[in-house]
Amino acid sequence: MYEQLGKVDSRPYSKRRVLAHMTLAQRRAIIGLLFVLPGILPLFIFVVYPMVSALYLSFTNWQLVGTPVLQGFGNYTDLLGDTQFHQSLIVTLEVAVGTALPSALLAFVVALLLDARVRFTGWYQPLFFLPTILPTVVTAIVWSMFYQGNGIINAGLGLAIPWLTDARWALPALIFMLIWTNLGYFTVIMLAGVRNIPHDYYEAARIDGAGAFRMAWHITLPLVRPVLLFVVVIATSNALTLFAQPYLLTQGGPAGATRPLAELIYDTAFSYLNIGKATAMSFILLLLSLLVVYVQFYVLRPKDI
Amino acid sequence: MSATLFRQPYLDGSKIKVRMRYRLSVKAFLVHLSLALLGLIIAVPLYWTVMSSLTTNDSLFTGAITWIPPALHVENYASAFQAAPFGRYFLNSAVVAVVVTAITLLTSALAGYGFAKLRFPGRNVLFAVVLAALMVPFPAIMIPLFVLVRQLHLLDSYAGLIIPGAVSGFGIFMMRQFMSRLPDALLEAARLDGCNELQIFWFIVLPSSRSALAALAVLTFLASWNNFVWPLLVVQSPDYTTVPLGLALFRGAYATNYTQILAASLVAAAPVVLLYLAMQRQIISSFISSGIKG
Repeated sequence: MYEQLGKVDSRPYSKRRVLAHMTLAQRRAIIGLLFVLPGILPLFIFVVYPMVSALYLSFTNWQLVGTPVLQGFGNYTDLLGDTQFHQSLIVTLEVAVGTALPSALLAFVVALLLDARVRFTGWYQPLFFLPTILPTVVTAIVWSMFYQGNGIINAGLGLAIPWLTDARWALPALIFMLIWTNLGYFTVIMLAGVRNIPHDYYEAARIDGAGAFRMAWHITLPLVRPVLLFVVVIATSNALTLFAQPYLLTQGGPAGATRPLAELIYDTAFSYLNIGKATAMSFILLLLSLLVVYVQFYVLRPKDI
Repeated sequence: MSATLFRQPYLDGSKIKVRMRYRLSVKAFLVHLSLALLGLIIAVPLYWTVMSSLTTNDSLFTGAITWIPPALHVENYASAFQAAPFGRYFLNSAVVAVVVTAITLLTSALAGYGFAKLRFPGRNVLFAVVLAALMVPFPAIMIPLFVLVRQLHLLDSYAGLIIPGAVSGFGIFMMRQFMSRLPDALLEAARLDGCNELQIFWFIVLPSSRSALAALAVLTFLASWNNFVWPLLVVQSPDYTTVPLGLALFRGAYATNYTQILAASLVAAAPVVLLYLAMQRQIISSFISSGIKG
């Protein structure tokens, strides 16, 4: 017994104790569970349960009062032929693509400019990032004034476009506001990617006689491609949860032209009181975002973000 | 990654700097010109908002842009506060944001430590639940969540406002990632000195995780302060109206009172803007490390 004392046990602490006394292992198990319980239990009640509940409700017919009546796949088959639903799926996709590509491109350009090692450019980054932290309600309300007939956009550019009331212009107007909001966020992500590129590459290119544009095109762009794709993924998942901005800017109008899926879910549940249909759409939204997560984790695998 | 966010001097910095100084002119001019033009797109709307909040309704939307108002009508701010109980809205938002942040920090740190450093049966399964919860977009569960909160009779209450915000798969995940990098030897030493797990957590783990906790606190506070959707669902009276919801209602009620709406908007944004000005670098780093934007 005593000869064991001198030996150094190289196994990790937990293994040693588990092997030595089982009761201690039980105690540690309880301690571990007690640590995670305050965080985990609410997740079960307020995330997992609502998820299951959404699936259940999507098979029912319910107007928020009384008891839900099971009706099978009715809500899902309804959605197949529902033009509002199709329209909002398309709007969501258009917002995703319409914000992702210009944002990625602009963020790349701004990141390159900020990284150009020119003096006194330090204060631009905080300025570009400022719209990201503004409350969405504030941004949307202020932009709804910019887009007015006599607002600063028309006045400044000498135009007379009914931005928010014309079905052709409302979606581009929404998308432009979203790009404005998130440009700073995407820029700092892109900047981090740009600054992760080893400086040697540029030195080598400079010795070979490459200029700034050729270096940006042949070195920076290929090496930040994972970050570009990351921006696309984030813009897509933002589009899937987009609600407050169109709700405040256009109420989803005109005629649903700016109503993304999340807003249609809200309207279906609380304006039309069709909980079954709304939760069926919620479940489809969940599947779509799982698809995005799948792309993010298994296709892109960004190493450093 | 955050280490490379802000310009680090190059090892051969001296050489580059010398060369830069001589090549400054044309390149610097072009870079500054491009950044300034892009910066104007961000800055002009913000400038117009501030200036317009200080003018009169009559001078807005005349087709011409007033860059410098002839007289500053500071009273717009006072009249906005008289027209709607914004004081109450601020109190509500502050209560909700502070409590949400406190609960999130405590539960996320506890669970993060449990997942990072303790062994117990079901750990991997429970962590998979955290990851799953992290990926669920809010609109996918907002209706059943509303139904649940209604069943619990928590509509139009602080508890109802606080609950979904304080439940954070993201917080647990973030703390777990950070805490699994803490050296085991540190915890082991405390254990040998006779600390129990709670003491280790409180005296060793929490102080070592200050930076991650600060990042989580900032993100949670901002998300809670700016949240609009959930208050829109659960709040039914001014007693529990938060600032963003109150602002949207104010605009709905006084749609043409533009200057007051702008004044109220700026006041609503003031707390987060001040927070941002005070700790801009930390906030930007937090957003980068989180990979999210509400």
